[in-house]
Parts: sequence; C-alpha cells; structure tokens
Amino acid sequence: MTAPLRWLVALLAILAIGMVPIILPALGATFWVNVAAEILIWSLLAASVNLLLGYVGLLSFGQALYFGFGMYGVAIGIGQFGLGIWSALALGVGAATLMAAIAGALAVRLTWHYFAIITVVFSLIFYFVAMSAKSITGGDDGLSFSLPPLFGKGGPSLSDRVTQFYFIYTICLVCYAAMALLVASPLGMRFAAVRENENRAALIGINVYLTRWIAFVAAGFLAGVGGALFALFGRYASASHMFYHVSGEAVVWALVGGIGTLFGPLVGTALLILFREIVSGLWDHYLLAVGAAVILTVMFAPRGIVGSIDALLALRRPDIGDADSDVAR
Amino acid sequence: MESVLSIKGLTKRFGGLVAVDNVDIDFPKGVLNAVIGPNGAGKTTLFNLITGVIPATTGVITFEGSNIAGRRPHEIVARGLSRTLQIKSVFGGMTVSDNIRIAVFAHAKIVSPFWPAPSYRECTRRVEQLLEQTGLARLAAMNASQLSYGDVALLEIGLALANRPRLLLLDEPICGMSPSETEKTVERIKQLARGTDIILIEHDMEVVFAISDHITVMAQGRLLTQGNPKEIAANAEVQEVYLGAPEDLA
Repeated sequence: MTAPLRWLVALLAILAIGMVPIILPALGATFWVNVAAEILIWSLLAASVNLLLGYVGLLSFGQALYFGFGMYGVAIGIGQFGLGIWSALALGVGAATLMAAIAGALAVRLTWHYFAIITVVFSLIFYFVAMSAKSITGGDDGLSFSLPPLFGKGGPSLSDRVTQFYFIYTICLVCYAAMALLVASPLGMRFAAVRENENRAALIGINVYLTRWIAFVAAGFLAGVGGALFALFGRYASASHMFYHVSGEAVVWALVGGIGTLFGPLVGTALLILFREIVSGLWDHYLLAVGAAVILTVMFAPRGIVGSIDALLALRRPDIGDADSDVAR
Repeated sequence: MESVLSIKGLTKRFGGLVAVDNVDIDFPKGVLNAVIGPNGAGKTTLFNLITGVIPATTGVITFEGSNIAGRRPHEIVARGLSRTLQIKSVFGGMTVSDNIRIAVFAHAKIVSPFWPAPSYRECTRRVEQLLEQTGLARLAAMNASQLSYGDVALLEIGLALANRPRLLLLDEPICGMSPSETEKTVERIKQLARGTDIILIEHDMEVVFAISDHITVMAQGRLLTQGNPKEIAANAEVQEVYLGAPEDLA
C-alpha cells in the first residue's frame, strides 16, 4: 500500500472504532461495546507479541506474564494500597516493564526455540508463584476490587460503559501511535536490521543484545498496559491470565492478523474474539476452526491478513515477500 | 614500517583442529594488502578473529594502539574497522537505501525512537553519497533480496563504508561476479584504497597481483611469507603450496 493510502485507511479505522459506543447502542447492541473494548485491550497483548516476532524476530510464548503483572499492579495498587486509577495504572505498567527488563536481560541472550522456551518458563514460574501466594494474589480466585473514580469524586467513572470505552480507546490509541513512531524511527530500523540479519547487524556496529533487550522491554510495557486496562475493565486480577495458554492465544492473534504490520494484531484479535463470541455459544469445539484458520494462514499467507492485503495492494512494488508475491502477481 | 594492524601469537582452535596457528602478522599502513592461500589456509578465520565474530583462543590484535582481541563485533566496528563477508549478507527484506541508512544510523549512534527515519537529513545525504560511491544509486529503491550477486557485493561494501572505516577488510569481494562487474569492482577497490587502508582476501590471483601492493601468504593456519607481488611470485615456497591446487593460479 502506498504511504498516503495506508494512513487514510488507518485514520478511517481509528474513526470507525471511535464511533463504536455511538453506533452499536443505537442498533440495540450495547453488549458489543464491551466486546469492542475487550478486543482493544487484548490487541495490546498481540501487539506485544508482534513487536518481538514481527519487528525483531523473537518468538515469545510468555507475554501473558507481563499482562499479568499489569493486572496485579492495578489490583494490588487499588485493593491494597488504595491508589487512584492513574497511579494504579502506572504501578501496573511499571511493574510489567520492570519485570520485562529483568527477564529480558536473560531471555534475549537466546534466540529461536531457546528463547521461546525460556519465555514460557518465566511465565510458568510466575504463574505458579501467583497461584500459591494466595494471600497476595488471591490464587485461583483472583483479586477483586472496586473502582475508584477517574478524576475525583463526582466526575466520570469507568462504571459507565461509554466512558470506559473511551478511556481504553484513548490509551490504546496512544500505544499504537507510539508503536507507529517507533517502527519508523532509527531505533525501529535497528530492530529490523537485527531481525533480518543479526550477524551483519553486529558488523555494522549494532549491539544486537541491547537492541533485542530494548524491544523486549517495550513489548513488556505494551503487554503491561493491556493487563492494567484489563484489570480495570474486569475489576479483578487473576493468575489464570498469566498462564501460557494466554500467551499462545496472543501469538495466534498476531499471526492471523499479520506479524510485522502495525494493525495486524488488532485485526487478528478482533476477528478471533468476535468468532469466539459468536460461535462458542453454538459450537463447543469452535477452537478446531480457529486451529484450522491458523494452519491455513501460516501455510498460505504467512504475512497474515493485513500483510496479505498490503501485498495485494502493492502490485507495483517489487519488494513483496516470497510467499505472497505469487498471489500478488 | 608502520603497520595498520598488528597480530601477535594469534591462535584459534576448534576442538582438535587448529585453524589459525600461532600467527604473527604485521599489515603495513598506506598500502593495499592482500591475503592469499589455498583453501583451508585460515584466511576467513583470520578475518573472523580480527572482527570479533569468533573469539581467539590466544593472541593479541593491535589496531590503532589498542588490543581488540576479545572485543565484540559491534565494538570493533565502532573503532573504525569494517568488513564484508565471504558469503554475501545484507538486510534482505529492505530496500538498498534502507540497508545503507541502517548502517549510517548505526555509525552515527542515532537510536531515537521518536522521529521517522527519513527526517534525518544529514543521514539521508550520507546515504545518497554512499549510494553514489558504490554505484548503487540507480538501485536505491530496489529490495536488497532481488539484487544480482555482484550488486549485493557492492552493497556489502557500501554497508562497510557507512562506518567511515580507517581499515576495511574485504573477504573475496569479486567472488561470483561477471567479468564486467569484476572490472568495475576492482576499479572501486583501487579508488577506495587511496583513502582507506584495505586488507583483501581474494582467490583470483590475476586481480591480487594486479592491484595489491603487499601480499600475505597463509597456508594451513600459518603465515608462510609476506612481500610485494614480485617477491611473492618468485617465491618457491608459495609456488609449492599452490601446486596442490593449481587451478588457483589460473
């Protein structure tokens, strides 16, 4: 896609998502406003996977750990320390980022399967810690709290569906804007260099380890924002969201939507969550269809939905990936 | 004679195999150096040791007054020592100009996450300059994975030059090139050598003897001899080493 067209599509998508709380209730589908909010939140976890896999070439199966830290930061901040929403949000995101900085320092020494394994191991360790530290985390039952007001008493509250949606929408928008800047920046080019050819990257003076670590911390930050928002959205935190099933689901969302594209993870998350909402009530084994969709994507459109559309629209551009170029021509 | 790179007691063992065996080499400054030797002589291993791609078992490598042995590749590059690879290797998924741009950013130590990469005008100018210098300007928008082999080799040289190196190691830069590409590249290397110290590994003896001022001969992981092209051509030991592989002399 040419650059102006790309930005036009992005702008339209942003506006369309912003209209959700106005249009859906008018159609009598108020319930779906919360589904849309949930999609936005989970898309940050998929975006976190994508930042690592799509932009620096590291496959993590442990991003739910940082999501979980974000959740617990908020829940403990509000429930135990009596913090307001904004400081609890900062605590959750800060905790997730710090954890990513520590885990990343070890994990990014490794690549590919070793990296994937160590990220799973980290998330398993903390899953079991959270499950057993019942007095702090509530274990399996999780930790509930009641929402403080958004800007002081009497002001808007997240208990209002529309306010909550716009709160989540705004924060997600900031995250996506930051990501758009990042991937187009010199640092983003460094990420790409490491992804494309780490040996060559080192030989032009790039510290590969440091570059991967920065990406890992940024990915932890994104997952942390997602987790913190999800805690506010659900008014609780639970260890079950740190399990690697959740991480794996985010990998699937990112793959189907398109890794290495900014909005691919959002598209993938939206499609698969909508699919789950619609089909899971009718068919118990709907995950079979999800599995088939993933296999088909990986085999026939490895750049995912957004990546493939991008390639189709870029007919004149010669630099399309191998697998899609046949489709494009 | 002042040297641009000085190697003392350099050894690399891979298990039982000694790839580079207690080598002492001085590469003189201000001339075009070539390293030759039959396959398995340890030439590429020598380059890998110099650039930190693999760690030396023992030895000292002195570049501009300090020992660079044991440093990591990106640290060595930052000191002004660049190289190209024998198996050509660039950033395949990106355009030619983005390839160079990354290297320019890396050299300028620009890591900002906030501004779009093309907004750095200074760097863009440098990218254009390097594209001109390597003759890749007409291919700037092309994806690097679609370049011909000869152009990839030129792009490699462009990446290495982005660093404004004071010493440039070229590992078989013309290997796999067509005759006309070879001619152009040899011309470029000669031009580069006027401003930058170069050490060249090359199998094409015709090229080596035509352009280099000083030749280092390696065999079986050891230094065999050093000298100017005339001395090397007349050296009986060198001839003997190459008798085992006569096609290299063609």
